[in-house]
This record gives sequence, C-alpha cells and structure tokens, in this order.
Amino acid sequence: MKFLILRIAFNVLTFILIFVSPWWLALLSVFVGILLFTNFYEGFLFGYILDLFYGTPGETFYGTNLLYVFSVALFMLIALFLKKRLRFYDKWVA
Amino acid sequence: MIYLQRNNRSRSRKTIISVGIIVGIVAVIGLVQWLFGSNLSIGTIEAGTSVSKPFFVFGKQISFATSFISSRKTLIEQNQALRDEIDGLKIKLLSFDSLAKEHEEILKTYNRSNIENKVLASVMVKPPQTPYDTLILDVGSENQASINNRVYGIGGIVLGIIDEIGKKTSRAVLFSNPDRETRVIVERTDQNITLIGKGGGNFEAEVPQEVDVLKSDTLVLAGIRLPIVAIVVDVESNPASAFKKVIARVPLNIFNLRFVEVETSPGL
Repeated sequence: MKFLILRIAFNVLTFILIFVSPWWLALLSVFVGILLFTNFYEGFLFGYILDLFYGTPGETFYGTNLLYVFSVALFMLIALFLKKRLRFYDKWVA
Repeated sequence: MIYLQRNNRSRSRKTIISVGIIVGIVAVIGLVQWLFGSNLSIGTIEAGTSVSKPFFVFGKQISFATSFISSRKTLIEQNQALRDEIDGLKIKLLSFDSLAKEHEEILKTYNRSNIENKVLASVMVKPPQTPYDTLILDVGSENQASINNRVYGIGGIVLGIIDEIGKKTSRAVLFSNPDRETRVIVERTDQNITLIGKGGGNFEAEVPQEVDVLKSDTLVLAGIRLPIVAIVVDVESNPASAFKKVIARVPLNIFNLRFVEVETSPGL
C-alpha cells in the first residue's frame, strides 16, 4: 500500500514536471521511475505526452515524431537487464 | 561449495514477456500516433498549458517580488545603461521612421500594402524547456491565428511559424529547429542561401566559396517586407574545400522570450 501511494505520488509529480520543467528533467524523472518501480509502463504514457507536447511533425526520429517513446523503450530494455544484475536492487525497489 | 540453483528458464521467459510487452506498447503508440497524432497533439498542448499556467503566473509574480530585493547600486547601473541605449536607439529610429515612410510610399505606388495584422502572444513554454526550438503560445484560432502564420519577435524578427493550433493556444516551430531548412536572402548581395536549423536559435549553411557572405551580414526571408531571420556570426572557409560554412544566429535571445507577435493574415 505504501509503495502504491509512493508510485501514484511519483506519477503525479512526473506529470506536472512535463509541463513546468525543462524536458530533460521530466525525462530524467521517467528514467528514475523505471529504475525505482517494477514494470513502470506508465513511463510510455509520459514519453508519449512529451512527444505530443514538444514534438514537431516529421522532424524527429526518422519522421515518427516519437523520440521520447523510443528513449523510454530503450531505457526500459536496458533497465530490464540491469535490474537482474544488481544484487542490491531488490532492497530498494518498489 | 554450494551454489544456489537458479531457475534460468523461468527468468528468461519473464524477460521475453517483458520485452514483448515493451515492443507491443511501442507498436500501439505508433499506431495511435499514425491515426490520431495531430488531434492528440493539439489536445495535449491545450491541456498542458492549463496545467502549466498556474506555475507560469506564479513564476511571473516571483520575479516581480525578487526585483524589489535587487541591490540599489545594480538598479542605478542598469538604469543608466538603459538610458544610454534608449538615446542611441532614438537617433536610429529617426532615420528608420523616414525610411519606413519612404518604403510605404513606394509600395503604395505599386499597389502593394506593407500593413499586416498581428496579435500579441505571451510565450507560455520556451526553450530550453522545449527540446526542439518550439514555443507554446497563448493565442489560438479565437485570435485569428492559423497554421503557417509567421511568428515575430521584437523588432520584426521572424522566428518561425505556427505549427499546431487550438482555440486558445498554439505551438510555434522556430526556423532554428534542428534540421529545418529555410531559404533566405543575404540582404547585402541578394544571394539566396539555405539555412539549416541547429537548435538554440542557431543556423548553419554550406555555400560555394564564390558566394559573397561576410560576418554581420543580415539574412532575410524573401517577400515585400524582408523580415530578418538571422545575422551571420561566422564564416568558416577552408581553401582546400569548394564550400564554406556559414554560421548564423537569431539576433535575439530565444531563451528570454516573453512576448511574440503572431501574424493574423497571410503575408503578401
């Protein structure tokens, strides 16, 4: 229950950061979320919101305009393998 | 030594499922983007600005409050510097006014108007918060702005065009947006060059060695009004190469933009 509240609070904070902070801070927050929480699939939603809010049509990531979504996917794949190889990881993951 | 046995098969299965979910989500988002990308984009901009508006207003109030705390000495120095600048600009303006009048008279002779309608817009979100040199503005279709209308900074410097529009908000993409190509004219020589946006208000262009471009040259858009796009800040020339690199910059700081003007009628 404690982790769920923490996760919801983190999601609300990240959502607000997308619109009020520099893009890199919001993206960093998503990356932290991926590392902190298991199956942080809401990161894709945040990535997509970033793409919709800031992206310009046809000029980012080979015309797909989904730069952040691909960044989140890439980081999630890296985290997937990273998490398994970190022994201390289970102690602080929520 | 005793090793704990790991269930590798189960773990690799979990990994495959996770990778599958990630790929699936990306595919679904790609499909949604392909089908409804534009509509969702303007919806997000409108919703996003309503989220950021309270923070934007709060930030303005904070900066107003902190201006009282600024040291008196700094304020006196700033005041003097601004007075000097105003005096210099007044002199320039006198000659500019007469030239503008003369320009208008010439255009009237040829039945062309120099008057264009603009609406003042407040910049809600700007670089470096935005990553691709885009601005979120507080004017939309209700203010007679429309897609592809030009966005001007102070002094009639053209910054970009409206890219997405909602009722009360819009998104402008700057000409300095990375990899964006803009055809401009070197005002001094009337030669055409193509600027390529590099982000942060910067441009680059590769031109043949024969093209006459110098540092401090003004680059303007083609048209009756010749609005300034950028100023050449450097020309890198290598005798071994047939081309030279022109580096240009928007003559105002796009990171400090508070207000811009948005064209409400297409230019002539």
